Amino acid sequence: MISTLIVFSSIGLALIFSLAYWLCAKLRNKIEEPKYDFMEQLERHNQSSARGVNFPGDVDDDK
Amino acid sequence: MYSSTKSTLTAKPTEIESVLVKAHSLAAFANLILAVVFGILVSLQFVAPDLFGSLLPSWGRLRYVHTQGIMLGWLGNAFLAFLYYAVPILSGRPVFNRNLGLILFALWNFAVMVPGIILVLMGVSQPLEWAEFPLVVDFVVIVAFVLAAIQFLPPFFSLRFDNLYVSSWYIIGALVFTLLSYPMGNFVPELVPGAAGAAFSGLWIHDAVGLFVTPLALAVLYFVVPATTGKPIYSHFLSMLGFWGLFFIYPLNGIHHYIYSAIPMGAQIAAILASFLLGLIVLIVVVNLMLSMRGAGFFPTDIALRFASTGIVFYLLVSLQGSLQADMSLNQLTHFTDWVIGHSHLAMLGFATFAGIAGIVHAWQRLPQANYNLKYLNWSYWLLTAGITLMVVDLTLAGLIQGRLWLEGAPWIESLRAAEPYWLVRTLSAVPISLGFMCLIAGLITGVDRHAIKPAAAAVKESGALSESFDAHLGIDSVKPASRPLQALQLSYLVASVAGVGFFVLSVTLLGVLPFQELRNQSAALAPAQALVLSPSEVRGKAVYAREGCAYCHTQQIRYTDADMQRFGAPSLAWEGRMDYPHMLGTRRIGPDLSRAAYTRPAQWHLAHLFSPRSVVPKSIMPAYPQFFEDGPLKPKQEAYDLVAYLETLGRERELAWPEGDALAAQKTTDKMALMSFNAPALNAHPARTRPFEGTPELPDAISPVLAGELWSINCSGCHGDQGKGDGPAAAWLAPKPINLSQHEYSPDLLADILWNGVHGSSMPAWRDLSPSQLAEVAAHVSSFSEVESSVASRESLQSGQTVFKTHCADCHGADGDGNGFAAGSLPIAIRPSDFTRERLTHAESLRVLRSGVAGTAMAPWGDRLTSAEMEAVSHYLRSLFKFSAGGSADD
Repeated sequence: MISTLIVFSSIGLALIFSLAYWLCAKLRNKIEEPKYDFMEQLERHNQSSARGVNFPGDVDDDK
Repeated sequence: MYSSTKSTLTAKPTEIESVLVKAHSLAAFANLILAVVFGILVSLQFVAPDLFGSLLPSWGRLRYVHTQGIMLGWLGNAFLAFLYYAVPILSGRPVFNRNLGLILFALWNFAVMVPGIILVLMGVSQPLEWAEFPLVVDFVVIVAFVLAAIQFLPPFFSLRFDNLYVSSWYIIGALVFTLLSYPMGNFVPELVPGAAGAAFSGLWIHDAVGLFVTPLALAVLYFVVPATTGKPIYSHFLSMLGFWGLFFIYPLNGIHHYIYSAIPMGAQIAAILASFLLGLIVLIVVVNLMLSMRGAGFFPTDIALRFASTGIVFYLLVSLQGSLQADMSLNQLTHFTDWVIGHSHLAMLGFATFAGIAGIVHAWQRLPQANYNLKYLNWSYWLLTAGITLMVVDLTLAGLIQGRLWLEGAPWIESLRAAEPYWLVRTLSAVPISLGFMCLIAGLITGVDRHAIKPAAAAVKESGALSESFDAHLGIDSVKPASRPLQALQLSYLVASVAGVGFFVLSVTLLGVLPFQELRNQSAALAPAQALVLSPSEVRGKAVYAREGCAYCHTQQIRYTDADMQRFGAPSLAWEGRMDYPHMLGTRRIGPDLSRAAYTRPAQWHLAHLFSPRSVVPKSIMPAYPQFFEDGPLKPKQEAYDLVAYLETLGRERELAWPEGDALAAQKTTDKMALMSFNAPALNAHPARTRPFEGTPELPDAISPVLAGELWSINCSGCHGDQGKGDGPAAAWLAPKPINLSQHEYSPDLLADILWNGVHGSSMPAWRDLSPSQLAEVAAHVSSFSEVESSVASRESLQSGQTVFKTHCADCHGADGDGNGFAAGSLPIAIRPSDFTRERLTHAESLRVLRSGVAGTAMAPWGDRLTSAEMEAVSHYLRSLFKFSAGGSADD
């Protein structure tokens, strides 16, 4: 009984989440936003690394 | 290039504690080498059990440190190294405190791993899967996880959880949920006995993989894939669906490690359903990750991405395998076999290790002053992929063969013999795996530094390999929206977070607390009113059993399956483990189940078996424990006595109450599983258990001397020797000594009786796992050893012998010499007097026995009470009594 409830409630929640994602463009954009944030942060990190700045490890190693 | 009009991330360059990344990476490699060495030592003992003698700590202790070394030592350090690299990038903020990092590093390695390994090797441990370090170390692990949470969570807190990237979610989830589940798996089984404790243990077994290892491995994969390809993941929506699905469903899986056990069936079914659902969720995760790698090729050029890519394939395989294993019909075949060992290696050494390597290598490529040798890393990839594939395929096949033999009721030893070549291949697979790990380490400590390496992401971009993503189909721009975060979405994450913790609590309640209540009620109703308290010696023996890892090869749970009932007897009821803190149910059977070990073998057999297993069971691969003896089985130390005393408690309570106890209890329950146990054909169906006075099947004619010789060699030669002269390796340690079969002759019916029912009170077991046709071959082989001569005696001698016999021998051996004298049933030693109508000795052997008696039986020496002439006469008389049961008569 409770097993069936868990399975169907999980599937139900997933369906509701999917439907909302499909229908609402704003929500869709918002949900997908972090992956671009992440790429941006990576790029920022790579640039700062390329400049050789701010690596606490480097500072310590040099000491 | 990705642009944003707003970002919650700072513009400040990310600060990475590269010293800590390197420190944890090197610690990970050190632990990996140790854990692999322990694993190889464990594996070698399957192939050559006596290879190391007593040089090393016991097999069980090595097995304990192997698994803890892989999970906490290797993967724990590898993931911590990755977190020090990834969290500042993911959050745009440094980790909490560098000094805290140094403390965490020291704690993890010098207060968890070093003492944990030393203590386990010294014999201080917990006999619980994935929780083998002793309790004192478990406390330190929890402190370390708290420190890790303090170190890595604040950067995310400072973002107020505003639209975190999926890797961040996995990191947060892993730290929070491991903190919740670790105490449950390590402490609760010490407080909750038997099957109920096993329910919590099962939850942890799965949570260790599902809530600690898997989330951190997926965090690595979701980080490395886009960072290396230079394009965002295919769908953040699918990644979040996978994330929440994993954290909702994974904790519900645990009980699938104890399917068909005494744990309530409702909890088992919930776990099975959750396992199937988890398979679907994993498919979503894998599809998303694979689509995110489009354009990178099947074997990406970037080595970190290649490890990640193969890790994703391993994840798919191991997850689908896990879901299938939970299916009850497949579970009957594969559970307790090497299939499961293959599965766990695919999870920890395949999926998680490849993800861990991907994380370290990816970070290493970008760390300042970090050497990097691509050639070695390429070698590492191919060697590891080949080695792990070989090992997993090999163990999976071995498991299927073992499971088939068990279901068919084949003798236990057959499953060991069938697995021998697979265990050899498994050991050989350690060669590429070890070389692969060595190349990995060499690849990261030799070569040139990162500045000599062209970033792979740039390479992918330059090649134009970027492909369109899921977003294009849904009209999502790669430019982030300028709108404010949707309040509803933030709220939904909050709700989901609460729900995630709620589901964990639900899983513990549903699969731990409720079964515990139900089993407690069932035990109260069905158990004997008074529990038999273990004696001090038995308690010490139990500690030895736990310390040496006996539960890792011998289960103590007879499952509710036909195959188990036929081989071992009535399925285990929950109350039978009510004294077990922690439980000893076990999850693997290399040797047979020991739930009904009491009254199955005599103590002297156990002692000989512990000292030198192959002396009594020539094909056994059980480790020898000579350290429990002063000088052989005849001089056991207290540990050996204690361990044997403990073995004699297994199943004792129910056996002593049986059959009246079972009959009474059966009236008090309508529970189908309990009734199945009460109505089992036999309480103890162990094939070796002696069964005096039971019937004997008619044996067919023997037809294959070759098979007979093989059966003899496998089953009988340890005690009786190759030529049946009673001089096998174990002979000197048993009393009575094994029969010298050249000096004995048996009627076919007596021989069949001895083989089928054993000789009660001696070390001669029943051989009920052999078929009647196999027993016929053995019987023919036994008869072929006999050198008993025809009897030639005068009538006067026979009359004189008869007189002596009736005066001195008939009380035990019966007036007719058939072993049924009035004293036969009340002898101080259970072995019954010989039946001379069905057994004949050589004249010389008869005289020897008369003169010296038979040690270990009630047959006393008569050399100082009878004259030589009297003994000669009695011997002739006894030999004259022999008749063939088939209707023949003695030749004299």
